[in-house]
Amino acid sequence: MINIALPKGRLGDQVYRLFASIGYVCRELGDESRKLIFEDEKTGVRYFLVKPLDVGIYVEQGIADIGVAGKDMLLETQPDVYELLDLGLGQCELSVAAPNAYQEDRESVLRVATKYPNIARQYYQNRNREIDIIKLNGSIELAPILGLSDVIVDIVETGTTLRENNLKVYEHIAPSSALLIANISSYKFKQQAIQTMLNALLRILKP
Amino acid sequence: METLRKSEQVAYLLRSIYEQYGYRKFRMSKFEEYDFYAENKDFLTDGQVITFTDPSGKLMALKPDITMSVAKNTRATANIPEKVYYTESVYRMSRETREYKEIFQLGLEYIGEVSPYTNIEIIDLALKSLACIEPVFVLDISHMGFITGLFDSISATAGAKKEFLHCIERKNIHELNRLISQHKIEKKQGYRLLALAGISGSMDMALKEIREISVNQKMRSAVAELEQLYSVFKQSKNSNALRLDFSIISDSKYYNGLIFRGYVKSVPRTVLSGGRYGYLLSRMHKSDLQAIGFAIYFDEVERYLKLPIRNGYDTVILYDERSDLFALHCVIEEFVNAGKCVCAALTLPENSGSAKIYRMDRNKLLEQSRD
Repeated sequence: MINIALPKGRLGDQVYRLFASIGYVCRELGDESRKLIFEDEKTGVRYFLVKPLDVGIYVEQGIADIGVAGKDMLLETQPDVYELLDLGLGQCELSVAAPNAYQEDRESVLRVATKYPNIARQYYQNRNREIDIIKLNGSIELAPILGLSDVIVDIVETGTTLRENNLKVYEHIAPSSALLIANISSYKFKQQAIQTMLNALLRILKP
Repeated sequence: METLRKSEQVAYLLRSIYEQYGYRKFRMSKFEEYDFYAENKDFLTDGQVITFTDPSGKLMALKPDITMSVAKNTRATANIPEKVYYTESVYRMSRETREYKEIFQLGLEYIGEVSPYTNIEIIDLALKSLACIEPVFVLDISHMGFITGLFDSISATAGAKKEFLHCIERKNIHELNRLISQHKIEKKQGYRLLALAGISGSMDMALKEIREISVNQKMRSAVAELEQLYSVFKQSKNSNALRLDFSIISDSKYYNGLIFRGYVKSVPRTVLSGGRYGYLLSRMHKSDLQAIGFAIYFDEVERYLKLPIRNGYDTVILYDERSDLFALHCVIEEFVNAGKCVCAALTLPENSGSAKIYRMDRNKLLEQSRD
């Protein structure tokens, strides 16, 4: 049995379709239901649906052997896991965004609104920039518009939300996409099962 | 032995094995002067130490690490090695909760001249230790000399090399590929990095691969050391448990030769970690000495390898103020000697679900029904 942690939501659905296409089907999972654990004895898989930010924890703690998490989430939570494959899904860019007219004032402490406090801290630390972090849980774009912060650190997919709110990408931090991660110990003891899956994914992901 | 917890059983087993191989218990105080850690801060995994002031006003610390104290206090000389093991608590910041935690550690250190045989003995004891914890285990082996040799052969900035190392540690080949083209690394050098990240598996295959990518003396002598080591274990029943894996990049400030990490099937994290460390000794002005050792993380073992909890008692003996104390005492001794778990009580205790119940009526033991 191979235990897989998937992020709840659109990315999780995309990943499941990808896994199902290479044989890791779980009949129950297609159904509309509120269940969080899905098991298929025939194909030998058990899926858990968890919050995207928690996938790393489930895999690090060995509850799931493998999982799929955005690089942004991994940079934020820094779990001790193997990052085996870039699935190319959920591509986006971790960026610093600011109002269109924004000009940086190097003399004052920068106020940064974000749901990625660790990434923001690390990024500005490497630039020797003193910042105040304002941790938000959603609608980050609102913060600089209402004057809560000078800039935001967030993921940008198409840039539409930014444009509609008169914001622009000010600096690029890192690209992000969905990665297949594995628990370090599971990788040793279920290496064959994990490698089989990895090879099947590599075959269909090859352009 | 059966009534002990799993971790206690393992600890006893390991101690007797280490004693048989000539290692002696090293006992030490829980405290160390804080200055010692301030001077050697870069050898601590994270700089956080619990400090307090002793009655004479000296700043003291609760030990965050045992190896450093063993290295400081060693009486070994180049000719006469010191072989010790320890069972001690260390106090560290937990990475997850950011709070101090007491961690029980059991470890083994060899300080002196490290010969090829010493490597074999230490790896063998690491394998034996893992086998005591759980029958299905893996010991990943890597070599700092090989890694530094390979990085010497690559022309890139220190910052880029750090990024490469991080990818190798995470087995992140796609990111490594991206970085190689981003930093415009020459094709052959890039190939060596990718090969290093991809190696994971049986020693036979992996040794062949690393021999092929060796380009300098440092790498070649590391390969020779690994081959020599494997030639001994090849024949043994544990040969499958040994794997070459360069993702176990430990702190290069600390280790300078063979490094290894052990895993057992039911524990999702590293349970054993060790390697050869020389820099620590040269910092302590003992450059003529070398050392190799490992530690077992008992908190991880304890969390996952629980024996079924002994819920309750086999036998309950109810007594009252009229019971004959001498007879009661004798009866309890009899049950205990017969291997039973007995509870003498005035009223029926909790957890007595399946226990056989007796009543001490003056000096006579009577069986009693549950109601």
